[in-house]
Amino acid sequence: MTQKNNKKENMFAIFSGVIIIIIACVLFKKGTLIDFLNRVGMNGILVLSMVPTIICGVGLNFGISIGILCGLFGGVLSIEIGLTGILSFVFAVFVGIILSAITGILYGKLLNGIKGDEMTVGTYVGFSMVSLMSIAWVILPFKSPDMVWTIGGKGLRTTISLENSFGGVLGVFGSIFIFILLCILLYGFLHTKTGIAMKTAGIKPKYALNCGIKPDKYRILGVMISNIFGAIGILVYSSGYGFLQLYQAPLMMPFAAVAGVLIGGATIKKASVLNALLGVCIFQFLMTVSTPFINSIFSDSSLSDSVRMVISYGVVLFALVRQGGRRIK
Amino acid sequence: MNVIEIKNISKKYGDSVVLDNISINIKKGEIHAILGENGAGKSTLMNILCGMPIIEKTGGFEGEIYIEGEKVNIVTPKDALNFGIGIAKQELAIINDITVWENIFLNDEITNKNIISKIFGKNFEFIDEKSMINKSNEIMESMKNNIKANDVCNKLSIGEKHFIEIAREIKRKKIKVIIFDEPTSAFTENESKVFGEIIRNISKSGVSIIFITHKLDEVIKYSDRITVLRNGKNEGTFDNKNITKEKLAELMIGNNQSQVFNKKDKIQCDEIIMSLKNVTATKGNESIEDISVDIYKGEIIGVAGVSGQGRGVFGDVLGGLINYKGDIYINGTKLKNGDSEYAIKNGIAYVSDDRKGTGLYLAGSIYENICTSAMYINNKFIKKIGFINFANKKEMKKYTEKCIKDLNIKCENPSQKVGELSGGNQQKVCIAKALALNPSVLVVSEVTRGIDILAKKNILETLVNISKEKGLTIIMISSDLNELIKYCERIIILNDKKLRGILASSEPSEKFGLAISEGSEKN
Repeated sequence: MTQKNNKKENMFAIFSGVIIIIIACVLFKKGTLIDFLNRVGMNGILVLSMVPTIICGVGLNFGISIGILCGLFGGVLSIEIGLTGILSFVFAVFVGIILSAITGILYGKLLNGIKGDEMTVGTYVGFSMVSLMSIAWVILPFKSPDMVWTIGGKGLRTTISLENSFGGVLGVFGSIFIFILLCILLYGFLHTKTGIAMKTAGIKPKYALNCGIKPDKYRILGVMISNIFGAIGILVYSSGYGFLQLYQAPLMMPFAAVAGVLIGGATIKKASVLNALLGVCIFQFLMTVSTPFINSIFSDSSLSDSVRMVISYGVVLFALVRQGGRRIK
Repeated sequence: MNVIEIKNISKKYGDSVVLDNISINIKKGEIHAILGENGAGKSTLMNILCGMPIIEKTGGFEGEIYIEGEKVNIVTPKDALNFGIGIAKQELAIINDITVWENIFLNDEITNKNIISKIFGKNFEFIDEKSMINKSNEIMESMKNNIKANDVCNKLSIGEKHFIEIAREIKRKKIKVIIFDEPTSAFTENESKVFGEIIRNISKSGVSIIFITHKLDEVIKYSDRITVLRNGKNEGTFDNKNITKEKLAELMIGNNQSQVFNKKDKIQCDEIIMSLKNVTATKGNESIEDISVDIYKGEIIGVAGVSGQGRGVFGDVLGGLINYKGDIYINGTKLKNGDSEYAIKNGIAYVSDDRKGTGLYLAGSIYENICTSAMYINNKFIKKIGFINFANKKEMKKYTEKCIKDLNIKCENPSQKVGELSGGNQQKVCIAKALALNPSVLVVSEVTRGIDILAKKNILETLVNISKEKGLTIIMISSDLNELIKYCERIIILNDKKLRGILASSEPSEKFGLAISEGSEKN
């Protein structure tokens, strides 16, 4: 099959997919389409954050929790100094980017030391960071009455309402706009000199070295970008959701993001912006449509949540098993 | 009396003939050396004698083997053992984490019968540890070294491990022949002396020894008779007394003064473009030590040596793929240790011997393979939009089309995947990739490996022409000495990790033979 045919088929698949989603949303229930778009905007950037690490050869970034925590910290800080509206969001993103860039570099250096086991180590790095930050949320001297426990006046609450700061400032289309913008930026970046060097380093480190490209450098860059996307992603997510979720909430977030990018056709060694875009659409479409559907079958239970788990973890499992497939490099 | 008689053995791997009608007789109690260069067929012959599965897998062999006058059929390694043929291989078959005696008696233990074994068979017999330890110590004493049976193997030197391997073979009672495959490559001088005594003693007790090597000194020192193999053909069997080292060297390399290629006219240029000073490096189990050499501008210089003697490391050091000690200067600039980016920036382009692993990205298109490196290092093929450097694919494809024309790469279009091309054309893509960097020194390693004859000639002549036109300095690393003699002006000979000499290609072939095969004590 030639490449051109392949592209045509891809375009056809995407086009028909979009039509199916729209028709289904319209037919299904009022407001489903908006709900769907909202979810895509909220989760899109987190899913997109998986792409740079896969491309630079690190694999799925199960340690994205680190970026998420940086973003959350930015958000908390923004509330603490009492910023409101879009300004508080911008400030939170700014702080999040700086922190996540620093932690991303450190995390990348760590991952360079344990090549081959990035995903396992990443998962546990994520877990331990979440726990570490759980302690930090309690003991850090935050004062804002919006965030601390009302009784005792010390320590942050598990969920912090964003009513007075950046909750909902972006709107549905704002978050989608940021998502699409980041997609375009990442796509552009992958076609620059540095981006191609990063791709090469990820595909085949030995070959890259022979080309004069130092793979380790670009692995760190990839992890850093992913981490920054994680920080931005959680802020957009929180803004859409209306709450900042602290403590154990970021623990399982990487898994949903991983499932999203895998369902879009990425593998552990190969991913593109298109995979992330498709993945988040399909994944969120399944969620949006399946939840009310399953709820109507099993009316008095929370089975829809279990089904969601089965889908997301099942997809992760499928992709991890599939990685052994033969592929020439 | 002949212990083993090999009659008219031929073996092909695919289309290439590895052994061509070989007949050798091994007498009882003699030390018989089999001498040959890389790819002469030594190892294949031994694989046949030992019944290695690779022979069966690749279609078996033609010819007959007689052991003590009886025709035998050796299919598995176990058959070979039953016929009394033991082998000590070049790659050690030693388990590092267990003791010496356990290694020696592994799967051949001395056992005592007990009640359960009477019912369930031999596998349930008790192991007689004591007598095995005693036996091991005995053997080690007879070899005059102080390895204890209870030592754990990973503390021993590689030479000592070889002794264990030898002990494993000589402990067998019905052993008739022991084959040693390049045993001395890891020995120290003292160890190789002891080794000589050991095999002499073994042979006196009536066991024949086949001794495979490419080292002339050892052949002369240890063996009774010598068989020389070259390109799968038997060049003759000689008594040690009736032959000189020089004659053996010539037989081994072959006389090829007739086929001199029209080399480029010697450039009278004394400008040093690159110089290595005391370079030492290791990669896996291959290493180079203390290499110092000056390379002149515009010359084609060869690097030769038997495999495992540092050839592969040499290329990787120059390409910046591995770390080294010592200094490398190019055009007066000192290279940074193991920094391929810096090496390429200073004009060294390296075509790796590991074509599919290091040299190419097989799933990528031809233009990506050729242009990525040049784009990254030399900022070629770049479209600037604002301050961002985007890759210019149009220009890449245009340049690739030019390469395809110049180097005569057979392909559909620049976007075809490199993995779909034939070996020769893949190699040309590798060379095009290196040339796109505008190097001042081109290092090519094993550029003709796995390529058919026509493509080989094509590639080599292309390289020579480029060198002529652009004054490019080429360092050609190759296992094929004849190829180097044909195309290079000077040839660096690596032997036993060290630089053994730099010979002009007009020197007689016996000199090359001596340089490649002589042992280390000579220098």
